[in-house]
Amino acid sequence: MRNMLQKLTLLTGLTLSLSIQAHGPLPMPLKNVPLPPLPPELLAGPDPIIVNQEKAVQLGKALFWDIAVGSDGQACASCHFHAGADIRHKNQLYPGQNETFDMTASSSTGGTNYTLERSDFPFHQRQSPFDKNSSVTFNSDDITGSAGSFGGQYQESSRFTGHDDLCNRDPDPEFQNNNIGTRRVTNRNAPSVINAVFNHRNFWDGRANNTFNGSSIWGDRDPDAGVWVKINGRKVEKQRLALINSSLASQALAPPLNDTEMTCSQRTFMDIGRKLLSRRPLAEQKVHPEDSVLGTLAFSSTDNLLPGLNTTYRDLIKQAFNKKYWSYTRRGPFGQPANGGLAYEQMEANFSMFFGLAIQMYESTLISDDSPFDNATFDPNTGLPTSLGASVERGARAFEEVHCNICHSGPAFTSNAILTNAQMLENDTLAFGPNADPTGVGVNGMAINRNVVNYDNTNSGGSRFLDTGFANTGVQDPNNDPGLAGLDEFGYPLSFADQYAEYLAGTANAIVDIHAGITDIKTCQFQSPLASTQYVPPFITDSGFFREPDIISDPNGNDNCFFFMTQNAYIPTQEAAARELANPNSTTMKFATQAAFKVPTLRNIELTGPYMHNGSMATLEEVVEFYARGGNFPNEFQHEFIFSNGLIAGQDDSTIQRRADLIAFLKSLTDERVRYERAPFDHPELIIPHGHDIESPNPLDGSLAADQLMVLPAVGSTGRSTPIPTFEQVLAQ
Amino acid sequence: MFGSLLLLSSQNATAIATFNSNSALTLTIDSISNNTNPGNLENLLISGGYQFSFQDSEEFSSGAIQSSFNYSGSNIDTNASSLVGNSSLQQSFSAGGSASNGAFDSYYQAYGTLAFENTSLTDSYSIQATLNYDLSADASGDFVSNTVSLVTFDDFGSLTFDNFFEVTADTFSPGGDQLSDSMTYNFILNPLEANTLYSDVAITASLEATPVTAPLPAANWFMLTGLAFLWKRRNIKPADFQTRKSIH
Repeated sequence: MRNMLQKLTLLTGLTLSLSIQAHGPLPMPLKNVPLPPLPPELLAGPDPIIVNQEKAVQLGKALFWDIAVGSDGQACASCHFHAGADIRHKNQLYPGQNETFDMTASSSTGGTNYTLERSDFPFHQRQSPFDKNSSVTFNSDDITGSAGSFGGQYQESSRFTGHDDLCNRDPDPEFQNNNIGTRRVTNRNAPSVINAVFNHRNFWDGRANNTFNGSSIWGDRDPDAGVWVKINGRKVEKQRLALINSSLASQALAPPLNDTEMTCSQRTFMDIGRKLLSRRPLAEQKVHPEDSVLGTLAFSSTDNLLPGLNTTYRDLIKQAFNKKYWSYTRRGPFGQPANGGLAYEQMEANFSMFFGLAIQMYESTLISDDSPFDNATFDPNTGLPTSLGASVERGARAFEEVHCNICHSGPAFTSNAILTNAQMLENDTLAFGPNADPTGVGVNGMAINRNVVNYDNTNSGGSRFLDTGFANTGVQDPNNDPGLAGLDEFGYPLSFADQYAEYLAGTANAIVDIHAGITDIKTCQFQSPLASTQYVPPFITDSGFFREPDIISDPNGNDNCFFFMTQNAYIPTQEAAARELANPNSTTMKFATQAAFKVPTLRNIELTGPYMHNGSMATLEEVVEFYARGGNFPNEFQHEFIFSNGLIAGQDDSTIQRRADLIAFLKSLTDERVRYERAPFDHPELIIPHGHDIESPNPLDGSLAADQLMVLPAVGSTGRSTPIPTFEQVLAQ
Repeated sequence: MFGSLLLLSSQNATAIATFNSNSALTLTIDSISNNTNPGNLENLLISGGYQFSFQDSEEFSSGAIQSSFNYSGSNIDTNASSLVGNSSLQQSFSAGGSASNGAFDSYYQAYGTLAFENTSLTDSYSIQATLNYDLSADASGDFVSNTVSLVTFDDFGSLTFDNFFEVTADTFSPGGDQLSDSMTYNFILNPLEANTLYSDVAITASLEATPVTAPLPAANWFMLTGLAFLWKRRNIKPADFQTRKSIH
């Protein structure tokens, strides 16, 4: 599109003002925005899976915050406690692709148990921060991740007490300090769970499948997935489950089985169920009596905070879920623990389903729609806010002018909110601004688009397939982390784009995500034409596209076409697609999935540093500098809107002011309830490992370092009296 | 660790976890009538009984464990004309155990079936049966969970007879739980139809106990019990209990 605008300027001979370059969907408030529709069988109908949504939310919140879920004191919240993300700064480094801890920018040794400093950021620095062609003065491929588990081999756990599992433990060869084991650290920065309900898929690489299968993160891809359904008192069947728009449930199943994040290896969800079912939730963690979800179950009174809930996990599951998933009393078909013991019962066998759906129900309540931006008044002519002060209002305009809005689109500020963004347009054709063209024509055209794959321009690699809601921005060397271009544990590509291309080429069984809507893609809604019957101006695309006789009509029709170009409602023939897919020099069947990562929401971004998938930037100023210079590592997969942008790259007063305005706008997206942890963002007490005392042994095992702990006090619905800090403020302490 | 063992040797008290479970079922055939040829019950066959399942039951233990259970169940195998007055199946099932040191997991399964087969080519039968049940679970000690479950259903998929009942006693509700009630079920067997009423009972218990010493940090305490977790499967033998078969 940048090339298009440049070429349009040349063609018309006009000098376009910077403001005219702005286009696309305007930022919108999140209030009353539709959630992605849940499958009807989940909550409704004569035989729903969840029979009591309130209890499911209670179960989900308890599980999310309970340190007994992990093998050594890790809860989901341990990495998602601060505005839904992780603000810890000690023992948070992962060594990166070179598998070696680098010296930090502050010339410290870094490594395990290191305490990050402000001067360690950003991890990539240039002689001139706004010139990507200037010399690199510092680069580290280390990652600011999240400290998790010590790891080890799972043996056993008590059904009743103690949050630690019994594991055979040894120091990790990578995460150790003089052969004293430290907690392992993840290889990506923890994103926020707040507003994650809008994401079509989750995890940075999208592997948390939109379809929840009840027992793994892989959706329809997993041939062994299923849940056990009671047919009668003597018959139980394993049945396939496919709950669409349930990526949060898929995501929830990964960390408790990951031996970096939360667990000893070889522990199963059935083992977790056995550990938890007879326990009181949050048995070691105080719960505020005014907790917005758990308060009615808490033992606490106003002047006496006590741990635990007055129920058990078993009882919560029985109250929340249809009994056909837990009332089968016989054992045998569900298997047995690897280390011996009683055969599993149905409730243990289905614990993964209960866990995933309960977490999803809870996280679906974490919507921050009460920021200053959400409560602003808007100019009916421009669609821009008018009540937030001049700087924020200029920043909102800059947000569009700099094209942040193209990827960070819609009320959730991410193009990954595919269904919500489409639903808003179905409800109101002007949902994304008064100048949006309801016919879909023109640069402000916002046609209803549910495509999960796009075909769009890259900076230097021509037009390419890419999953909607993902982008390569050039944060690091694209070979360091494949991101969306990775493979699942079955060897299938994570991306929808790969599946779509193989589908066009007629590859048998090309579609593994059968509920993802890949076969419903409308090609005329692509940003660049894939196939066309007519001449396409070079300012639309400077890449190749399929032409006659290699094309056929797109069976999915030609409505809501981008730029009203119905002549692009075509697909290549199978023969043509297969030919080009096999051609290493093809100009049509190419992909931009390498090192592409999920577009995160910008809501509460002020509070969720460090930034990017590798946590390499500590402040919003560093982020804006990154985009101003056009990224760190230019590459063929980089999105076309990542380029040296004169609007924000420079040291003149107006450019400096524009950067400040842009940041002011981003800060207007902070919901004060998140800042002060008011409902629904209140929470139980949490004891979080935050670095180690290397000199002292850990009670778990003498070969491990003692934890230094950070205690997050329980907070009720009215929140805390002081705001939570930003990452920059924490580094300054 | 050596220091902890010294503490153990000086102990003068133990923490014991116990459970007791009971189930009593009586399935009574209240009435049988021939809708086509009143009084003729010859073509209706009835068979069934209550039976403990060794194959489906398990015990695992480590440490100092005591457990016991008793089971008795009756059978029927006749045609309806031989049944006079109140004809019933009965089951009595109890299990209990204690742990003073170590851990114990148990699962006991008993099955109950009462099958009706209409061998007539022309006659239909109306049948009424009542199931009386009395379930109780009791527990004491720091770490114990005890559940008695009753599942009923029939081949017809009747919602009336499709039930799940459960009583639980555990660390958090040690006083126990009891449920006594009955359900009556009516159904019609058309010519050559058959229907079976199922009433299955499962008793599940889990105990963890450790000798009481001077207070230990929770982590050390768990390490001690963790070391005791060398699961040993206890084989349940038919000679371990009594089974009574009779026709009422």
